[in-house]
Amino acid sequence: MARQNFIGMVISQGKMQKTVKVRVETKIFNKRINKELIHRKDYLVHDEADISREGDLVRIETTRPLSRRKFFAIAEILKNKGQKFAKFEKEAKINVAIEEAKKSEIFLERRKQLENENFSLLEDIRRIQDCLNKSGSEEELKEIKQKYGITDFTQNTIKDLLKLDVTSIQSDLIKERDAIDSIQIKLNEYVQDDILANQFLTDKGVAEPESLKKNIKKNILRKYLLQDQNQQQQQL
Amino acid sequence: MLPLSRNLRVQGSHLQGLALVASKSLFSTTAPAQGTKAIKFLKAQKRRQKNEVKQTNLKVSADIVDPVFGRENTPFIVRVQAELKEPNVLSHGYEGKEVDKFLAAIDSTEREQAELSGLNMDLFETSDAKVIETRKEVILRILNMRNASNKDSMKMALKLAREEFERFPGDTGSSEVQAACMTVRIYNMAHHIQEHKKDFANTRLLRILVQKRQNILQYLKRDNPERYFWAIEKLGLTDVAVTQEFNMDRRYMQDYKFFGDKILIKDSKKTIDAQRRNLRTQKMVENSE
Repeated sequence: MARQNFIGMVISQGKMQKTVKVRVETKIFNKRINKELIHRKDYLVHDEADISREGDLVRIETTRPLSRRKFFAIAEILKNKGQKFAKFEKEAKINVAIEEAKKSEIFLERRKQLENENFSLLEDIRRIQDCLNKSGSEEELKEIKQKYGITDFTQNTIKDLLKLDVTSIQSDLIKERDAIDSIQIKLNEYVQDDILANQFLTDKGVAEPESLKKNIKKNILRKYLLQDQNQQQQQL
Repeated sequence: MLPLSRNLRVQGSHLQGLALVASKSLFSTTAPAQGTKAIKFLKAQKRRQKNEVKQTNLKVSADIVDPVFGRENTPFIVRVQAELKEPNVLSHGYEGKEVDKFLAAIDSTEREQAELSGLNMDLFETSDAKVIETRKEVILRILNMRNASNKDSMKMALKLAREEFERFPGDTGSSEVQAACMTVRIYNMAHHIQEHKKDFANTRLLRILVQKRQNILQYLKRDNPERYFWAIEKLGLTDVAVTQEFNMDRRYMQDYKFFGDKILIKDSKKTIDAQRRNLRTQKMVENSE
């Protein structure tokens, strides 16, 4: 005779040696309300190797009675979700500890750097101006040249040194806006010309672009156009 | 019970019977045959008590984590809080270099103006180094993160949280980033409530926020379990703290000492007695071992 079989979820592990608790759910028809109800029963199940973890889906099989409440053993693990979770949790603890140690090191390093930061731009510029106006010694300027990586002094060097980053941010913004606009133009072209768009998508490895919905197709087109542009920028 | 007591009931009305009972004994006693049963019962009781104590100890020693604050001294949160108190960090995203440039620019324009106005450059006096030094100090003090408003410091803390949890540069919407940002906001709000006990509106908002974080982390567990365990470890939470039911009620506040040792719920006499009894049995079992 075939042994009795159930499929259930491990709901408690690690509290008893070589034993887990498995919840088996069955549907039982209730005659009075003419409806199937879920009936749950928890079994103590033998787990010889202590492999299963909370959350695993297992098949259990009857054995000879192992103790007063234990007469099932795990036959196979159908889904090892619980084991995976336990593994992730264990790994996360180690990984996070390593990561945090690194980050705190970086933090302390930056703190040191900020403390030792020496601001002498003002004095340097005064020296430059003095030298330029009164035609001072060139040797004095050598040091400053090395510090800022300047080869020749002109009237604009001081301006360049004093330039704040605001202007560069503006130029970046303009560049980015132009890039977005150019993509928009291309996208409109593709949306209006269906054949061209389909060809573009097949080149990119999209299967059956004809069957795609209009809005989804537009999104995918935009994605590949953006990718292309990013690649171009990187090459430049 | 015993045949003796039954006798007492049956023959209670008869004087004869009473006299008979009185002549033997007034109290029911255990027969010698039941001694072994009693010993068995006592043994079982001891075993049960021992197990109960073991179970309670297990429960207490389990890693219980505050669902609002998480573990104490979580490295990520300690680091973010330290960053806000750094002496050389400036608010509004400014840097020390920029202040230096600003001051240098003022100086050079002063000189330029003097040149343009046709002054004799030999007579031109540059402003005193000490004055400039104080100017610099004042600007740095105004812009310092320590003197920034709560709004600004929150902005910076959120930025740090975002950058630490993002999946790719510029990621602002992934579940772990959202959870990290919520954690920063939860800390801010919880500290506010600890100072302002009667701010019930914000207490409610805090509850909503914590539950929202739980929900988003539960979603992440379904979506990407590896990332989920990484995120909760980083935020100092545990799986139980995320999946357990949470309510910002007095029971929580008392159990996790939200307002210190203040007693917020008066337990009934029954529960207090039960607790005392448990303690006594625990001591008894420990002494016997």
